[in-house]
Amino acid sequence: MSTFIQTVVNGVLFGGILSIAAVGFSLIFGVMNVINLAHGVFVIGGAYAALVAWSTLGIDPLLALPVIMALGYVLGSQFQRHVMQPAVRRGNPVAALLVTFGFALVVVNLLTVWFSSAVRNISPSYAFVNLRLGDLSIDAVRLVCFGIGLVMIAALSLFMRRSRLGRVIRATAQSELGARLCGVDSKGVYAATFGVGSAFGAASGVLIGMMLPFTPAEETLWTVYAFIVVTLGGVGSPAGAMLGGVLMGVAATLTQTYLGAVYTNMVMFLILLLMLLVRPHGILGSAFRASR
Amino acid sequence: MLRPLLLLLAATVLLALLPLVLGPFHVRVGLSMFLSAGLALSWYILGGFAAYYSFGHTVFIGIGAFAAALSRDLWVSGHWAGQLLLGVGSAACVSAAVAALIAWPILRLRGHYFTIAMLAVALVCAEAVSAFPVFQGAMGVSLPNIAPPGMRVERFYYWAALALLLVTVVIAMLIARARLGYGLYAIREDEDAAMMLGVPTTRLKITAFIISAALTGSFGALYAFNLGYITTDSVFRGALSLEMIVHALVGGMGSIFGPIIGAVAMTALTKVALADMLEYHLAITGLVVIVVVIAAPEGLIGVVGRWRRNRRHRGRNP
Amino acid sequence: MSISITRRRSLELIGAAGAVAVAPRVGAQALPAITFGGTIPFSGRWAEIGQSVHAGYTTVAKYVNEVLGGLEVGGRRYRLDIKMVDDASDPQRGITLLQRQLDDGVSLFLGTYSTPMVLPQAAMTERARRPMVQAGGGGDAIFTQGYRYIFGMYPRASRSAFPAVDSMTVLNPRPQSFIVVYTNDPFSKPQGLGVMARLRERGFNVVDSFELPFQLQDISAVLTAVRDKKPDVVMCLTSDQNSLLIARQMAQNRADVKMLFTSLGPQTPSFRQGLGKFAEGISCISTWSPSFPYKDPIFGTTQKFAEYYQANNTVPLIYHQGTAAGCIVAYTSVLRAVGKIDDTEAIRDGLARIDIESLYGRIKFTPEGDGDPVLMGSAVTQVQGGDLKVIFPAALKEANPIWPMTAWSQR
Repeated sequence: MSTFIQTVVNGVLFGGILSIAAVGFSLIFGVMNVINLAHGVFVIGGAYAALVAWSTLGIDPLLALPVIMALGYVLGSQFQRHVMQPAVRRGNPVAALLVTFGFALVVVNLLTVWFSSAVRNISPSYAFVNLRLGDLSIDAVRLVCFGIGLVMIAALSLFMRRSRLGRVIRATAQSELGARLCGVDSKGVYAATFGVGSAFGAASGVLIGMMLPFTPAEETLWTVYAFIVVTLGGVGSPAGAMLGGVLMGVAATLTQTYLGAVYTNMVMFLILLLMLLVRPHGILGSAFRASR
Repeated sequence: MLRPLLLLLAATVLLALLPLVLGPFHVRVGLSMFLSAGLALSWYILGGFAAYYSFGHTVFIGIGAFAAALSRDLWVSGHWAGQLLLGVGSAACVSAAVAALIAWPILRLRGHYFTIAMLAVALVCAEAVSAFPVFQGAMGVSLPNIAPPGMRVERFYYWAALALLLVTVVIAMLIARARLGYGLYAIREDEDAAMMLGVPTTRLKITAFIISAALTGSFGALYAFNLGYITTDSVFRGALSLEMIVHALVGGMGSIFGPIIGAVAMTALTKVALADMLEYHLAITGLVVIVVVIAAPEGLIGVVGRWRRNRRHRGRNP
Repeated sequence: MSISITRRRSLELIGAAGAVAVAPRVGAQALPAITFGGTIPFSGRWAEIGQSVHAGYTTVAKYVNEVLGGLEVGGRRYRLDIKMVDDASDPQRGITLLQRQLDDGVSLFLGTYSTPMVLPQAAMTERARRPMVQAGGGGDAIFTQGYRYIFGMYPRASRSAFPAVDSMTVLNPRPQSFIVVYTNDPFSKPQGLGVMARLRERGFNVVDSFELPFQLQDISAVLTAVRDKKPDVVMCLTSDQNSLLIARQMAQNRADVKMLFTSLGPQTPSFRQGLGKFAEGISCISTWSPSFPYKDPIFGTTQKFAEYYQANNTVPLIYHQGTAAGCIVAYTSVLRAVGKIDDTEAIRDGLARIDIESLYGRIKFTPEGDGDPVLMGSAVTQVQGGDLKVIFPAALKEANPIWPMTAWSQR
């Protein structure tokens, strides 16, 4: 029984990592209906930025987090404005997708040249602290990152509901024409949205860098994990990302313990596939949005 | 129909004679081009005609490759022509069967959801082939060399790939001129309107999907024979899926020759021009994609078309 | 008319002469070259390893060309030319580029990295009857095809981790229970299965085993098994990334064991730095270490090679460079014995019979071409004081093993 509880706890903590990574992707997909294939590079880029901050500048990754988020915002919004918008204007429905793919290739290549493909990890002084709750063993870093992730997701949710920009973003997502008629600069909104999504992606990268070893080539995996979480939990909703992430995490650890580690990824991808076939808008998503 | 076919035949004969004057390296580059072109065109049958962009077509390359490798006992003893036909044939059959199995549920999805779903299919199959020892994906499978004795290996695969490419082009041309093609165009333009007008969209989509899968699988078999030893990673590669799409896009999505031209251009770029620029070839591919999407969305064919039109206009107004 | 042609012609001649005159002359350019061909991953998944291997090859060539003034074969001096191109860790690209070199008449080949990359290339060099000495592919599949022209610098995968098992037999008190973890790939899986068989042969108790996929983000299942079954030793035949993940998660969750062995990982400084004090005591296999006490026909000793390498390279020295250097030493030794640089049959026969001591160690191949399991077996090293120290076999030992290693919970 304690094995089961430990497995579930591990799964929830791992799922937290997945949720954080997916939140930015969910926003971009929900608002702009764009699959951001460059999402993974913002995540991994954030991890490398934190690595530089920690190993070269001696700054704790959590302290560098806001700066890295700001960098992610700038890079993302500028990329959207100057590269994606011209591409989308061409009319090809797959254009935005491909342009993010091209961007991902460029960044992965640059990261490989600058950092080499050696496996890296960030180990601040508190990296190996361990908590015990009776029989349960909890990795302190994962717990802290889970907490930070929750805070970030809650902040995003609040931002989307209460702040002016958040309302403007949601309005543009519902109807671009309507929003423009009300005086909204939709191009600016899209750039800002992509920027916010990228900022959260980069932030998740900082947290992931502290928990897991990473290489530039991992970026594809994180983009795919983001898909899975968003498809499971629901597009556009931060709560959906949280739910989807936790469910995926628990599914992964349960598979590992009871079926075999070798099947972990297969089960995760199978869940993605089945969700797409049965309920593509996810558990918390709305069917109307999905049919666009 | 006759004129294009004759031109096609002439081009094929010319290409078939090339290995007699080219060195083995260039024959291999040509072989790569035919494989890439064939794959891009196979993808185009679904993606270009019907606008159902599959981001997981590498699954059929992998299924075809492993089908050919694992069905070894069926064809290993026999004349080389039989070996080739049976190997490629079993790849085509297994790919078509898998496609038929998943076609109906998958093709109910539209747009982005179909795209991700195909990616998911590719990921699931890749993991399954690795995880279940019966497929030998993790440890790898060897394929014997089936080139006839006395013939240079790279020439044999060059001609085999050229032949398969010719078959693919003919099939694509036939589809384009048949009701299937027109139905797929209708689906591309507006699927709901097509359905309302009585076009049997489901049946047509499934047909195109199966044909695309079978052809992709056949090229997968050739890819495997050419390599001689395959593991999950060497044939279930995301990079292959994306290459198919990039080639079709770079060449131009408006014509069945677009994917071919795009594949030839990109292969020439990455395998010949950039062969020494190694460190940055991924970045350069990425930049090419971005530039093409923004500056030449109709692909190379579109660029050439625009240029010719401009020339004509300039000629008329000196 | 005739004047301008003459003028133009003379300008052309002057231009040509000038171009020849300013053509760069580097080092021993005047000597004819012995070319070693092949592909190497400079980009893609194996890029970091590819760069280390390449550095090993080029360092030996540089030494021979600049310090020794060339290699003497059959009475003439030659310079060594390492001509390797980037295969981007893509098997298809590798074989296309290799073909170009075969066309260009390159007759001696070095290897790329990882079994799925090496095997298709080995098929091509075998067909062309040209030897390949490689340090990148150890999967059994390479050496069971009946190839005669392929040689590998270490024993095949299923035997390559035997020294790790043997090192357990000399520990006192003897460990009892083991958990074996291996990655599901053409190298680690045979390695893992080989290890499990050998452990049982030697009377150890394998209480559990795990097969992991290549891409894995979480190993809680292994942790749970370690907690429940309390093995003495956990042996991991896993990729660098999985090894790091396992070590980190075990340390973070205080899954205490008496010894953690990971085949790949601790050899790189970034692994040891990332774990900090938690890396202490982790053991791994190393096909080579700069501390080996061997004599070498080119450098004199292993030590001198290590010193020359450090003075001329920025890529950190790990075991890959030693193994790569061993390939070149094997070739040069055979070339000198044969006396000809293009008699590929004689060179192949020379390689098949070779039995020399080199900076890498004894070089002697089995009839199938992989390294002799006893003579070319790896050493076992352990992280001690942040550095790797050889703890097994006795002949190469630098330090005693830390056994049992300090429990994670007590660090």
